[in-house]
Amino acid sequence: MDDDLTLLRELRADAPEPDAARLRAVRARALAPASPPVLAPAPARKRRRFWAVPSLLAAATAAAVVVVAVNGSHTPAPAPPGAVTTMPVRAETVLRQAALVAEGRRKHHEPRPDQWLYRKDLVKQPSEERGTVGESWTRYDGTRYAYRQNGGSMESLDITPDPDDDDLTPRQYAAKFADLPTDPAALLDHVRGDRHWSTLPKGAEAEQPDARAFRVLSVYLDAGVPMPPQVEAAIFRALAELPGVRVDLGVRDAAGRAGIGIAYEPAGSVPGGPVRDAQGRIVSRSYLVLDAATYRFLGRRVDTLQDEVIGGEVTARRGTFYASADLATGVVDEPGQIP
Amino acid sequence: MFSPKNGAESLTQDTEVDDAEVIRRARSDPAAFSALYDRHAPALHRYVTRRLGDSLADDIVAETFLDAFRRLARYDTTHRDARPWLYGIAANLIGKHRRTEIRAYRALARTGLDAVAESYADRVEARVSAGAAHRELAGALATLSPQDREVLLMIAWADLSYEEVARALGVPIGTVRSRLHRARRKTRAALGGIDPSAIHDTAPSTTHDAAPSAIHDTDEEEPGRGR
Repeated sequence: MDDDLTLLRELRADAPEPDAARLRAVRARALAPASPPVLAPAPARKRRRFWAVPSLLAAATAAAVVVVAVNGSHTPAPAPPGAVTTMPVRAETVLRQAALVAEGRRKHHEPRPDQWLYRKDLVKQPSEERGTVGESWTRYDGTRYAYRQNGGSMESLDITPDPDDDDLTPRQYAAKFADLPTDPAALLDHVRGDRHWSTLPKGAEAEQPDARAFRVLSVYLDAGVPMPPQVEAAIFRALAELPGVRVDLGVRDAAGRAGIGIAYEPAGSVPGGPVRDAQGRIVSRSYLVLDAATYRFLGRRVDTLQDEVIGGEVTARRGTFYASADLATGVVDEPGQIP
Repeated sequence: MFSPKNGAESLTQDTEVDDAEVIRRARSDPAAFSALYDRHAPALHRYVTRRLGDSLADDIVAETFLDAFRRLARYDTTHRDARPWLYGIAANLIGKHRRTEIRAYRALARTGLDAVAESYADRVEARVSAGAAHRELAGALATLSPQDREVLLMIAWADLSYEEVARALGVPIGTVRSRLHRARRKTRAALGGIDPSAIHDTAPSTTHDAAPSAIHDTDEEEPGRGR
């Protein structure tokens, strides 16, 4: 009686259910609107260790001239079209307060070499509506690295030392931090002459010492490696003394959190300072974003203030921005664990 | 986003919470919606694979849940099980690939080779060379009206009851019965010349009931574990 149904139930009865990886991939697509803004499928991003583009490790080369803002007495910059309204404030005031708060932080325990630093960040490219969530696990001794994007499958890789790679392992960063002077003036001297991240070009166009100081201190703050409270405080005090540092309130990271934006915009065109267009206008403003209350590093933001033209092609439209946001960090025992 | 701490994840574990409750929660907390996916996507994916083959299943399942999410507000939460609703949405999407589906049945009937089964078989030697009965059956499936085929396969392959099929397709239960009756008249007629005792020798030993748990092993890989 039921032979036709029985037979029908046997037809393609071996059709499989999808495996877990496939289910997760479909899930990311299927649930995209249920979990904004981070689940949008994004083009594969270049594997990286610590750095979201644009990298702080490589110095920008400077172009033309003009005056804008200097530490202590700069003129308010007009908000770029489409960007959040920000408010410039006295850099010294904010950064000295940041130093006081940082000094009061608890000292952390150094992880074991076989433990892993977890970092979850959100990166939004100017061309994207939504960002890409990346989770990385970096073994503290820097020998291995694992990464996954938008909750997808994990990629892991062994890291062999590369003589051309000037990034440091977490342990090397920690060792470097431990050796840094905690006196702000001494720290500034130290980083102005820092030879580790040597940059091109050399000679007359070589990165100017203050520009280098700002960049190296930015690298430290964005390294994702805990630093001694006294060193972090010294970094903020050093930035407060550095001519050309500007601070804006209401600068948003990729997660939309408004914080304190710190940028380097010295008067005139300075090798290693911001790029200016033919009219002398700053093309993009690159911020480190700190939490307004705790002064912890939140992320980075680069506002395109003028169309950026490279080789006659507009590579970034005025009013667009790149931003990142650290969503979580911590120390775990295995890659894949979440603190 | 899919960390074990995720609220939606814990909702999945919560067997007391029925689909209707998940949907109620998802209306105010969209993240809760993922519990519905975790519950029903594996079987739905298998069902779509069985209808259309491996390559379309991801798209249709993703599209089904995207659609479902858009229609959350309209779900009648007196129905505790959301399967009929989801399969109804999927049926519309599957329907857009009717030609593909029918072509495979026809080819199976003609040649005994099943392109759909081959799409998910991972070994070449696992080629499904159907027996005479399955070929006749495939030929009948190809000639059914889309509505009749939908009812027949929802019952035979998705394990929905008559009531559930009625809800899935938004038709009265009497209509389900008459469509099924019509469909089965054709399949029986197609099998008319087949000796029922020979049927089990030509078919793979897998029975319908044993298939899902025997084949899938989603527990093997934990989320977040490196591979």
